[in-house]
Amino acid sequence: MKYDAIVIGAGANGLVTAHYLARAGKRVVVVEQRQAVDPSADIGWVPPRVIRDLGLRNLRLEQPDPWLTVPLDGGGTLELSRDVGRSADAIRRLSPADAAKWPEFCARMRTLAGVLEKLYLVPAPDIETRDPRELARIVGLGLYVRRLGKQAVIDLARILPMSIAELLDDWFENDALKGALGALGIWHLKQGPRSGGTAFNFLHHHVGSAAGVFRPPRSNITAALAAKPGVEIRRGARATVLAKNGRASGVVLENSGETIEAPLVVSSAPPRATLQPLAIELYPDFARAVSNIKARGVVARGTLTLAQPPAYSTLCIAPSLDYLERAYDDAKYGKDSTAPYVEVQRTDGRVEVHVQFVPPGTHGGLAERVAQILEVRPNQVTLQPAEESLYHGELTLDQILFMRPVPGWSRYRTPIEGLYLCGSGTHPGGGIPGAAGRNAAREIL
Amino acid sequence: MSLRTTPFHPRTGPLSEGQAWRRWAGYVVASAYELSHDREYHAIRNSAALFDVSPLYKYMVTGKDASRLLDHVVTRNVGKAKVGQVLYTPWCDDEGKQIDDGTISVLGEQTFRMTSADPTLRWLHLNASGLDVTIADVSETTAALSLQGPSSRAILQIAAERDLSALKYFRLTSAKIRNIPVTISRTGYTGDLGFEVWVDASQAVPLWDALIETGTPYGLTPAGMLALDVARIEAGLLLIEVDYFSSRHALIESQKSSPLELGLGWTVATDKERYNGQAALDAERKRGPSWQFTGLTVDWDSLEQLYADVGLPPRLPSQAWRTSVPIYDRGGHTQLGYATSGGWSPLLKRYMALAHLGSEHAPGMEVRMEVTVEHHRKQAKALVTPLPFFNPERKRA
Repeated sequence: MKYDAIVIGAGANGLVTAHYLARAGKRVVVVEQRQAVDPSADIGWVPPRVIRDLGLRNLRLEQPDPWLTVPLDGGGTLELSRDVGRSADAIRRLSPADAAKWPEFCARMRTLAGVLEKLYLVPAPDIETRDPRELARIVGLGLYVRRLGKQAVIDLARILPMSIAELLDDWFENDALKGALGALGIWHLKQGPRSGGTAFNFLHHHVGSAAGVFRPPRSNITAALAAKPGVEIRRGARATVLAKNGRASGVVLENSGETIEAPLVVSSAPPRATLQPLAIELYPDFARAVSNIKARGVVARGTLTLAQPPAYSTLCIAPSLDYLERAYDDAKYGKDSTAPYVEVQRTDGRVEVHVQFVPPGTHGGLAERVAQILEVRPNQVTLQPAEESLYHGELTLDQILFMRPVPGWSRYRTPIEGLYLCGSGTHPGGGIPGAAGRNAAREIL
Repeated sequence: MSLRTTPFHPRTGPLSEGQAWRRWAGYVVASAYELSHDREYHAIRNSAALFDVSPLYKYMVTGKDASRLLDHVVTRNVGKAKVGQVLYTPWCDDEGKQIDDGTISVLGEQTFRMTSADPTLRWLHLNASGLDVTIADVSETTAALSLQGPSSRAILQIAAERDLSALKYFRLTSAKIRNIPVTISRTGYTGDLGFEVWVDASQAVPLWDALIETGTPYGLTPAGMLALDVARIEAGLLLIEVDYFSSRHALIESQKSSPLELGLGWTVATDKERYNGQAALDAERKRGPSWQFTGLTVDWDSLEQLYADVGLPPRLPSQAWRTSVPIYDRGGHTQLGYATSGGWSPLLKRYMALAHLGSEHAPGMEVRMEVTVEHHRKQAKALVTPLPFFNPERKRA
């Protein structure tokens, strides 16, 4: 069988790239190491352009309401709803001052997330460019931001490098509210809420959501893409790129040793895993940059077995910013958080758990601790600590835009001719299934 | 941090008549042992000279992927080299600009010794990612002497008690000198018949004594860097930070050079897999390098006239110089390039210089070199001369 392109990884980005390539008339095979579709990573905004371009009619977006349930000290819960007014009513019981600020906070964050959306649906701006079209595009982005008004320009410059704790302290007084919002700022980061750049991470995960919703939506994007005809998917085979003399020629499947040849190989696997075996083909400075990508695993994900489906859609255990910072303090020194941030989400017949911080290594009593926090028995909790970041590269300010996956190589290309990257390790990163895949496909075509 | 002395210092130290020392890679080595380097120079060309070259950086690269690593780094084809061979080679950055140059001794199928002018350990490690290879910095534990000159083979044969006539140019062999295990390579930096002797640093002094004792009847003379500098210019051999700048230390693009521009095209393999700088060097070879590294011979009559004009007899540099000197066209107005080192060759009776010129200036072409005569800038006529200036048959015989 002759292929025009091989895509490594049948996650959302890999499949999006594959379908865009197929749509352009290429014969595409996708190689995936997992046997079945893994829906657990289908968290985040699916750009409407992707849905429209690929005609994903069977795509289901989950938009639970209320979107977050926060247990309160001394009983009761804070429920945050899709409706800004209803959330404000709920917040008012804790702090009238915070409730008064809620609508404006929601609006301002929405505006900023809108700027990121603009940046995310195209390749990262090329700051070294002399190409008039690229310069015009950068100027265009600048003008777009200017037109949003003075407040937006100030917010953008001020908030992006800020810590989420400073941002929230600037707006609110209630610990429970700040903890619940602050948790999004440290999602999949080995940073605490007082680390710089976490406000950006917060906005990144707000992208695509309605004003006042600060948890990314879930969808069935991977399953929907996998079910769509047009590309061949080969499962159960881990692939390594074949390259010689600076040119990719195909992949070799690890277990069978079978090789598949194609002039174009696109990898949605982590940049490091894709490129490290090819080190001999790479200039050391580039290879070193790739091996230094920060992608530290800090999250254990898993499932919760409950007799009854829970009443909440998403339960957040992050009682305060101090609680999150202390959880990070443990991780900073390589230990599991004594009191971790735990979030439980009901989805599609399952209950998923996100526990942070759980650095790679030993995890004595982790399940017990999480069970105690959730007031269930330890055998109801199954957790899988991640060795590496789910996002293939943490979304820290030094690893975004034209610095993602490594500085100077943000255009999905690699120094190896015919080898491209399209996974969440590339711009715009994890938590936006399909965006990197679409950008990469457009660069390739 | 103070400068270190080499393992031969217990012997070289007392020999220094004028305490003229020079820094080399963090060590002190003799500029000249006598007050003038003249006799040391003539020993290189007429009998034999002994240099302490221990400050060279030396790395042992061993393991299954050792030759793959070196092939990844350098421009020569290491995989094709046979055991017992020594390769002179440059290495480059991704843009094909030269980082450094040195030698690779093939000591075994999986054992290589690499020498360099600049520290290279980190660079080797960076290139070794994913390879099964061990890299050891043996700079301090390996001492080296360079025995150069027409009598060098005779001296070494007696010292090593074996026939070395079969040891060809750029080949090596292991041997024993008074029971001291050494590696003898037929290499050097003088462009003459010569050898380098590699030894464990702990045996440095007895080795020195053995060679001096054996060699003295043959006129063996310890020699310093000033004499070596004249010889290497005669041989047309490059010196880093003088004739070219490492691309790692260059501040601007124009300070960098490619091996093709430096006359090292013969060291850039066309028959090997990807190595650092390959794509850039292939492209440069295709379009032709825009610079060349060439010799210049300053015209005696022209130089004499410049001095005669101010009422002086001609003056010659007493040592080799290493400063950048502008080179102009015949008219003396348009600058064509620059000389990077030069000096008087006592053997050839010629004023020579090494220069960077545009590739279009063929041997025999007349140019002008700036000379300072009695505080005034003048231009002397010079002819583009192919390198090397001096290339005796005995070098390879």
